[in-house]
Amino acid sequence: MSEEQAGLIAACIEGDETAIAQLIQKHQLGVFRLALSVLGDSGEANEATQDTFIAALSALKSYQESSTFKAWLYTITLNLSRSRLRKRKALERLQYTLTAFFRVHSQRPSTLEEIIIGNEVDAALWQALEKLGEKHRLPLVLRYYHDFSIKEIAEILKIKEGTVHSRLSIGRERLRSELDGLFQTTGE
Amino acid sequence: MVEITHHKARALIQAAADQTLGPAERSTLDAHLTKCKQCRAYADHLTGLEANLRKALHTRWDTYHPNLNLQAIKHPSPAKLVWSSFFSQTHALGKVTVMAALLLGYFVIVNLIGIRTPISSDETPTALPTPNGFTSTSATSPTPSIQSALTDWTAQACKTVIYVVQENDTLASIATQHEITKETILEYNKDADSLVSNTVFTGMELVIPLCEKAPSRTASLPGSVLTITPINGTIFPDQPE
Repeated sequence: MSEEQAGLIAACIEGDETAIAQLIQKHQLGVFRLALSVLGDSGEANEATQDTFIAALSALKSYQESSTFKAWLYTITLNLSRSRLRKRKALERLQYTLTAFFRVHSQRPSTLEEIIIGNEVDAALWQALEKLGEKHRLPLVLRYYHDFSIKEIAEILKIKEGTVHSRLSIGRERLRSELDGLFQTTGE
Repeated sequence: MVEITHHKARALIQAAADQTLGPAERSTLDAHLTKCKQCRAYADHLTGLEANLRKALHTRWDTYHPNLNLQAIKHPSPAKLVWSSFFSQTHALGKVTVMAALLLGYFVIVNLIGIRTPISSDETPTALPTPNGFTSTSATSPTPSIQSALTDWTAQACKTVIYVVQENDTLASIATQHEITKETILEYNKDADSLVSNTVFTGMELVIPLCEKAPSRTASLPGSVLTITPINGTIFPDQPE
């Protein structure tokens, strides 16, 4: 950890409000976009970001330098986002059961379907990513959106580097077979 | 120059995508790619996928920005503070609380409902019904019953262990080491973090089923030895000569 980062964290522990604002300013975009990539909803991602900083600031004393500060912060973001996702899924299941009971089926498309942009490759990629499931999608998002190294992804997801590599390989293979033929004509 | 198979080349292309390829492996791969059109197409396809994936993710999410309430973060309400800290799992105290709550829940359920064993001692059969007048008796005491012995055996048969792939391991060497077949490993790991084109990586975790080991398949059932006593001195009285 750099001296500047260590100083900033120490000041935050002391309760220095300027330092806290600085820490939030520095990491808010990354945290927000990670939450967004898990939750797929900007409003919920904003709340998860807010909760992440509340939790991180209250637990800052327990942060140990065995992992990078960013990886530690992102682990908190993932835990809180997943917890929100579970809550939302439970509510959606309840809603589905109730609407099915009264034979009122809402035809609302899934979140990822809603956000498909009018580009064929992007649309196909989103569908394929949605099919992957979180286990293989998250490492891909951390690698190709957040530009994390294999070591950092392993730290964030609390898995071994070999497992990260295998999840990325499986993710890429599945996307490749789902999108077979698409990149030859439209890729760079 | 070291010759490699298409299969190995694909594994190296995947490793190159993760920037985990050493210089020696890089030159081996480059040499293969100059000669192999098929693997070159695979590498190009993967590069195209990576570029499009980056573009799609950035196009979708870069337009969103956080809108945080700094005051709410600096001075959170007590309820919010407890909720966030609890679910973020950063506090050791939080983890201990979760464990304590689960244990408490378990004991409450056990005490309220009670747990009944599937077969009580007075329900344990001491003799098995047999066809055609044969009498069969258990050579051992009624407990453990044959049913519970079968249950134990089945539970044991389903045990698995996690094996972390070491350097220089291959699928075949892991299979030999655990006295099971490669196909069994593939079968048990088809849905896990595993086996792209049957390739294993150092550090990868594999599920190894103990029940597929040769000794387990031939294991006898403890406490279930039967003595069959024929009534008229012949085992198959109605069988034609």
